[in-house]
Amino acid sequence: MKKTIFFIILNVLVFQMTIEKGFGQNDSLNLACTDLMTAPFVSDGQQYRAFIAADETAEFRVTFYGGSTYRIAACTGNNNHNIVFTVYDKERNELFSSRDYNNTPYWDFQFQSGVDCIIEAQLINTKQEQGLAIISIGFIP
Amino acid sequence: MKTKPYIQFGYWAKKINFVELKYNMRFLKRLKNMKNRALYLTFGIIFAGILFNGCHGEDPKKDALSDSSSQFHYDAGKVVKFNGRLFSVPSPVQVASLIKASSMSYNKELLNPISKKDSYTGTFKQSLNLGVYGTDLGYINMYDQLSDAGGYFAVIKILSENLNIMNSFNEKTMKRIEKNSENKDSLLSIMTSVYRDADSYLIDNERNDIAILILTGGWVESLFIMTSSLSEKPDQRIIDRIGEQKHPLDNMIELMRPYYGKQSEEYDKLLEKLVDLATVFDGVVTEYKFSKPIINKEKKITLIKSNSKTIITDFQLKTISKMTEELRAEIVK
Repeated sequence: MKKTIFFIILNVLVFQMTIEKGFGQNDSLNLACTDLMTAPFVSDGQQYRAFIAADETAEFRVTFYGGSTYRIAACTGNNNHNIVFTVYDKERNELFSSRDYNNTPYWDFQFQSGVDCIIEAQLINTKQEQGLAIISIGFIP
Repeated sequence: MKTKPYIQFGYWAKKINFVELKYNMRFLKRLKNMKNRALYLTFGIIFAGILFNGCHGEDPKKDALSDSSSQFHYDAGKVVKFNGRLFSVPSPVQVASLIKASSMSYNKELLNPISKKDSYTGTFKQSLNLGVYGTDLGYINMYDQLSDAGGYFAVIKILSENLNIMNSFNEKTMKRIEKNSENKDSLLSIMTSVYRDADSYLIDNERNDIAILILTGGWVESLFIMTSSLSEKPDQRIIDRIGEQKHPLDNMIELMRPYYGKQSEEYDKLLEKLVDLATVFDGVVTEYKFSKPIINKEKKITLIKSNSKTIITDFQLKTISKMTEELRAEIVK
């Protein structure tokens, strides 16, 4: 009986540590992506996160204003090159894909006029079945 | 019996599968629930292990993960939403940036006075006005009116405390504000970081409804500042920017829609008013023409040459201005 109780406590502790570590990693991930948003860019006040499987795509839609310059940054795990992000217009014309540039973790965009876009992110080159995809958007005020 | 407001959103309406939206889940819910699941699962595994005379060969972590995965209806190859949201709301600070670029003078009368902070007692009003004051602070910063910024930062801190989102306004942040009280760029950066952290915190803690109200308050205030500025000096760039709010407004409604009929009467009324506003915006025509972007690999920048033209009539503009003024008055009341 004592052994069983000990085993239960041990398992609970191991799980507690695993979960806490998971949350801690999320915090550091947030910071890592924020580091890519350097001056003169400032955050749009939101951070876009999705927990996705290797065969899934995370997406959202965003309106970019004309005459503005934006930075899109993407990160996941300990290696920013584990994520690929692609920007489409509303007609699904591809405007940019980080896969064409060594999976660069960020890229800047200058918009001549307002454009409604779709941003997609996928995990790549990862042995993990699931992972956290984080996108940050910044602009030059 | 209330029915959920629905309007035709043109392009977006065709693209959204609302059934899928309903069943998509938030990744953090998985993470948070994993803790409890892991605990139950552990006991389950141990109990099973005892029954089968041994607990060997099982990887509890793997089990916990696979359990959580199966609980969340994973479908191979499907599209997942960021933050459980399919849409983004543009930063209201960008609007302030444009207004300043249009050579309009600083007008403090447009802002919501900080003296009204005490009248916002409930979560609904506090959340909306946290967004309103954030936009006002962005406007103040853009015009270098740093003597006014302190008061607005203080109100934002108080409202954050009331809403229990103080993590974004911690001691470190306050020290940064004090240290950079005369640096416009730093204050702007701190302010946007505060709102980003608050947004993340609320989503992490399954308080997305509050996060959306903050975004909504900020968006309405930015539209109010834009429409009010036109009375001082008509400017085509601002008119275009107002017209460009068509899809952000649709996005806002989609973010708010899941909480309709589940929050409060005032929440429902707000959403209904936004839907009314969206029906006017529906008449705004946007012509879009794709052009191949120009990429500068060395500078890591892409020039998007695609052209959008927004056609908005004087009548639409006046109607939008009037409705926005009424909506904003209701929010800051």
